[in-house]
Parts: sequence; C-alpha cells; structure tokens
Amino acid sequence: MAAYIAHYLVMVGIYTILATSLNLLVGYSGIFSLAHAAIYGIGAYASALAALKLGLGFWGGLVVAAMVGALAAALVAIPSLRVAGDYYIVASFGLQVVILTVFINWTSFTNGHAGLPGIPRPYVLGLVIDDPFKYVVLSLALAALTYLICLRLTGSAFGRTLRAVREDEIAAAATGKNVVAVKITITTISSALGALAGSLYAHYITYINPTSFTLDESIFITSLVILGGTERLAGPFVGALILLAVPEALKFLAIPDTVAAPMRQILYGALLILFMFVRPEGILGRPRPRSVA
Amino acid sequence: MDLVLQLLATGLVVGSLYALCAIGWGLIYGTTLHFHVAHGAVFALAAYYAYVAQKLLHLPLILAVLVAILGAAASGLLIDLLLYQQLERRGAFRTSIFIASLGLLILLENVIAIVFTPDPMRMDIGALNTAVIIGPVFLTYLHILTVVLALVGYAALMVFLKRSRWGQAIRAVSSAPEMARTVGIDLDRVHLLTYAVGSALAAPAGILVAMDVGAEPFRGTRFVLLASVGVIMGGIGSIPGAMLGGVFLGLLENLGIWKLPSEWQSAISFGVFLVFIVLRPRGFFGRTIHGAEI
Repeated sequence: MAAYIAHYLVMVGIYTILATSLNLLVGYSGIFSLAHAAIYGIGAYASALAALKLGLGFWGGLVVAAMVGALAAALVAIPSLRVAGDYYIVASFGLQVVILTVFINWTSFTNGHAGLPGIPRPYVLGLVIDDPFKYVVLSLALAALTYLICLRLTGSAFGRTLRAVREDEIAAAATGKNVVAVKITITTISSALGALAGSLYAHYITYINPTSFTLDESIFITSLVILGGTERLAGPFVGALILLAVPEALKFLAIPDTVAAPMRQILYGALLILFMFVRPEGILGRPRPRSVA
Repeated sequence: MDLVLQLLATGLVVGSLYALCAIGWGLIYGTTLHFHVAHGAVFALAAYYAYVAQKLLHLPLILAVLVAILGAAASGLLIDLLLYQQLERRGAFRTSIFIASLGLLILLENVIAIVFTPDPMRMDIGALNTAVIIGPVFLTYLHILTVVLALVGYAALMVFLKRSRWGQAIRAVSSAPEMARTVGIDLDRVHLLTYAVGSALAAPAGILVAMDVGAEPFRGTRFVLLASVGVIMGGIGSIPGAMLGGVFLGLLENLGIWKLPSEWQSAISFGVFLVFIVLRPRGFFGRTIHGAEI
C-alpha cells in the first residue's frame, strides 16, 4: 500500500511538471497545444537514448531532453505562430502525429512498438534512486523546481507581456512588444520544461514505448490544466492530484478493462464541458472578466 | 507507372472524403469562427446512424443513408444550440468553446466505443462492392460513387450559398458578422443553419468510409484535423479552397507512398502543411486570419 501511494505521488510529480509547463501556454498565453504528450515523449526518448547509446547520466539526459524538446517545439511554433493561434492547434496536432510516427517507425533508433528497455536508474549525489520512495523525493523536487521557474517567469516583466498578448495582441504590439517573438519564446520554454517530465518518467519506469505518448495523453494533460485552474500556478498540481486518483478509484469498482478505459475518457470529456459552463477558470482559478461580445 | 495511376486514383477517392469533411468544417469555421473539433464526432455518428438504420432497423441502404445524413445535420445543429450558443450566452472565450468541443469529441467517441465496441461495424453494400478495373487501376463502384458525391456535395453547397436567401445570409455573416446583424440577420439562426449544412456534408464522408471498411468510433478525430489542414491550405473562408485542400491532401498522402515507406503516410500531410504555411500562410485563395480575430 505504501509503495502504491509512493507510485501515485511520483506520477503526480511528473504530471505536475507536464501540466504546469502546459499552463504557461494555455493559461498564461492563450495558445492551445495538442502536442504536449509528444514533447513528453521526446523528452523520454531523448534522455533514454542519451543514457543507452551515449552513456549519459540522469542529469545529462535532462539537459538533452530539454534541448531536443525545445527544438522540436520551435520548429513547429516558428511557422505557425507567425500566423495565428488557431494555426498552432493544427500545427501542434501535426507535431503530435509526426512524432508518434517517428517513435513507432524509426525502429533502428526507437525500437518501434517494442520500445526501449533497460534505462538506468538515476544517481543523485552518488546515491542510486532505485525505489519509489526515493523517487517521490526526486519527482516532487523537480516539480517544485518547475513551479519555481514558472513562478519567476510569470511574475517577471515577460510574464506581464504574455498576459498582455493574450488579452489584446494589437494593444501589446502597439506598446512595442514583439508579439510573435513572445509567443515563440514561451512555447519553446514550455516545451523544454515539459520534456523534463519525459526524462523523469523514462528513468523511473526504466522502459518506454510509444503508447505512453499518444493524443489521448495530450488531451489528458490539457484536462489537468483546465480542471486545476488556468493562470494559477498551483492549479495543475491540484488537477494532477485529483485526476490521477480517478483511475485508481475506478479500479475499486469492478468494471472490466474494455469499459474502464473509455469510461475514463468519457469522464474527462464531460468534465471539460462541465467546467466550461460552471468554472472556465478551473478549480483554483480567479474568474476573469468575460468577453462582452 | 501502373502504380502511380493506382495511387492517383486512390488519392482522389481519399481526397474526396477529406474534401467533404473540409468544406463542411470550413463553412462552419469561416462563419462562426468556432474551432469545431466535435465535427469528428458528427462524422462518426453519421456512420453509426447509417449502420443502425440498416442493420437494426432493417431499412434499405439508400433510406438508411438519408436518415443518417439528416441525423448528422440534426446532431450538428444541436451541438451548436445546446453547447456553443449556451457558452456564448455566458460570455465564454473562444478557447472555452474549443475546449468544450474537444470534450464533446472525446465523450461521444468513447460512448460509441462502449455501445458498439471499438471494432469496425460492417454494413451490407451489395453491388457497390463490385470491382471496376479501368486499365491498370482497381477500384470499386463505391469508390467512384465517393468521388461523384464529393463533386455533387460541393456543387450543391456552392449553389446554395450563391443562390438561396439562406445561403446568402451565411455568406453575409461569414464576411462581416456585425454588418449582417445591422441589416437584420439573426446570427444565432444563421449559425444553426451553418451547423446543419456543414454537418450534413460530413455525413456522406463518414458513411462512405463505414460502407467501405466499417464504422469505427475513433476515426473522426483524424478526419476533422485533416479537414482543418485542408481548410487552412485552401484558405480560410474559401469553399473552393477547402475542396481543393482536401483533394490535395488525399493525393499527397497516396502519391507520397510512391517514394516513401507507407508507414510514414500519416506524417506526410502534416510535414507538408508546416512547410506550406511558411511559404503561403493565407492558403491557395483565402484571407489570412489575424491574431486580433482570434
């Protein structure tokens, strides 16, 4: 039971990183991405391959993951965000599809559906992190670090520019802000942070395959942000605490697996709709003035 | 060479399906500015309406298809009436509409998966399954019907938009909503009509795929996102553009596997899309969407 709770907390840490980084886009910048699971996957594969092929340790893997994640997002953000936010929805979905295809089909590198086994455990200060309890500390510490980075970022002048761009691009541009550059920068930062979660996951499970990084996963991460609260940094953490407990709770009801998986998705879908009606700003969010039109 | 001709023919058939989705989705997006991903759920629902009408209610095929198209139109209309318009009345942001639409897509797809299982549900299509061999190209009557229906759907939509009063109202709202309101057009009613028409166009695509390879719950997501790619490539607000964009994507995916391994097929369209929006962000013939409109 204790190990079970430890595992839950490790996953809460990982998803907090994912959702907090996505919140920079969805909540603070008004940019919608469907590619966060792909970014998560890129982080996982990049750091797993760095460990398996280059013999890089956990910390080196984190750096590689962040770099590759940022690069992939920039590649898509630069063409699409130049135009308009809706283009990024489509472009990010494209990224999600292409990246998943790469994971599955570039077999010489990613080993396809079979995945990559034997990813080494991380060493921290000479100590091997080999059981869920130690991993809880590492996972929550990195989640806290992500939180602090985002706190600094959103509280800075850059953070205020982000909100200005979200509220009124033309007004922001009129005050001399380079709107496109701001949007591309935040997308890149968000993806670099999201990729860290992938690295953490790969070294924790020690085995990765493409099924962990699908579109459904992207939508799940989005639900964490929306439910927890957009534009509140602690929102995604609350979202992760609640939504990760749901499947565990469903396990106690004796529902067959073939029904349980779609049931979970139905629940997420219904929650997304419900929240748009009763609390679009999420559980922790502050209500924003609604648009008049 | 034979292979190229076959890929060209298959590309045209698949492209016709994408085009049907794209003109419907493009009409809705151009008029309401809703990023209506639940269009994918309407696409799936249409297929299951046809399946239920034929297999469980034992209607003749042609009648089952008509029922399904009407059902899809009603579903689209209800989505706007009961979801998007209610949200707009509460002053929701455009992102909220998109999130609700995404939620509805997931919800409906998974409800279908529970009711009908995720396995393909086959329909009886009788003689439509007969092979037609034109030189080196192998197709079925159903495939030819697909191309014909896409052309008919496109032509009917264009005539409706240009000639009928309601069609003109849709065009008015699409090009200048405030101005349309000023001259007495009821925006909510025009939106409802747009959803009904756009959804009725997605229905044949969903049904035709179901007739070919069986109805599946999760296929719509891919179709609706490819439709949005087609619409952006064709140019937002342009129905001919959406049609062309859809056909182009079908051809691209299929001709792509002439040179590339087939497992990369799904990546081809999006790869080209990214290059395309760098070179020509407003699409073949459309207007650019500016940040301020979003």
